[in-house]
Amino acid sequence: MAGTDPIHQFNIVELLSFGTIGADAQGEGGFSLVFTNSALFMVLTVGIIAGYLILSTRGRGLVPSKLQLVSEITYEFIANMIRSSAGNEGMKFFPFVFSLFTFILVSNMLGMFPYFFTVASHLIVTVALALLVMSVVIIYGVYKNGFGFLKLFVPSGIPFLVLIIVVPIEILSFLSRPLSLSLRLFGNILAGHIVLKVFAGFVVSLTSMGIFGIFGAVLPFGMTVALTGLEFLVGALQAFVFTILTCVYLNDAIHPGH
Amino acid sequence: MVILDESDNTKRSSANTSRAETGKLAKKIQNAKKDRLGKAAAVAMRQREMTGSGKAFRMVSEFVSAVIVATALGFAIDAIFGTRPIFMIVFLLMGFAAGMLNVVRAAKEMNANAPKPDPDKLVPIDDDDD
Repeated sequence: MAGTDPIHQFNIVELLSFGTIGADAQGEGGFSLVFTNSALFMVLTVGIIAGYLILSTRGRGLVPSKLQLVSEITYEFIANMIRSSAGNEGMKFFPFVFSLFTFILVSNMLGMFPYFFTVASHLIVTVALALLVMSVVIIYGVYKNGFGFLKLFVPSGIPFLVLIIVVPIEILSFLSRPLSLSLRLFGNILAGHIVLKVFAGFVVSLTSMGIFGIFGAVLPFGMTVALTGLEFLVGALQAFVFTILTCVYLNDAIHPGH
Repeated sequence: MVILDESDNTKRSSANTSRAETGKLAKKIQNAKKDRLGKAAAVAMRQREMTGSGKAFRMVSEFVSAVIVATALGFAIDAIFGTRPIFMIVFLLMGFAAGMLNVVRAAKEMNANAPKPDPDKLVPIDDDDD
């Protein structure tokens, strides 16, 4: 069943090795610097985004061309999202939020090509993105509000005795944000891709079972087609959800206290 | 004189019409801008409402992550102080509460973004056969 292994698509392949730091005498352990297929697709994603935005806006038409229009719509979409959930002050973070959205969106869309690698299907990538968001929130929140940032954990208008219970819960709720942010993106992409490959695998194994199998394979084939559409939707939706939650969290950093 | 007057008049009237036209144009631009913002918001809304499973996954991840984080924290504290499993249990319960809080917040946010129901339709239909 080598051809229908649904997990095979997530394998990390080493493309270029830059050597290992800190390995012991047997060559065990240490920290290896390797350019993997995951890294390759990250570079591709960034390259596509940067290339598209630069090329499409090069004309700087007052009446935008179709390509430029897509860039402008993306800009306005993100700008509206930030303004509506974090206010005009949130526009400071526009480059950050825009990069996040386009990175997740384009990498998910790239992952829909057969034989391509989906960057967000590895938990470490989404955790890194989520921790980046949370460190921006914490660093900016403390920089702007100082100790006032801790008001985030103290809901207003609650008696002191109840606060003893509520504050730890609020802190836990805050700490769970990076995990929920990363788990959601990772889980959706991983589950969707596995289900897609499992159904596609059914087609392969059924067609090898003679004439009835070939007719039977129509059902999982239809399912595969439908799931492919759903995966495009999920990829776009998760990029959207990730960015809108980033905006909500940034709003907490800008205006702590409920 | 007559001719001058006339030209003056036409000039004034043309100025008036151009002003009126500018006003109309400004209104048009304003409307278009409003339309576009409304449309963008509507698109965003629709995208958010598009899949029920997306919403469900949001709720689940909010809840589960709080429980996981809290339990892991409790486990770590226990490992440091050697008090297994007291802190893990306490933090598990607190994680449960934090998860509930997360879910309630997410639901509130979704409610706030959902379109308001038509108030006329909320009135119960009078189906009595008097």
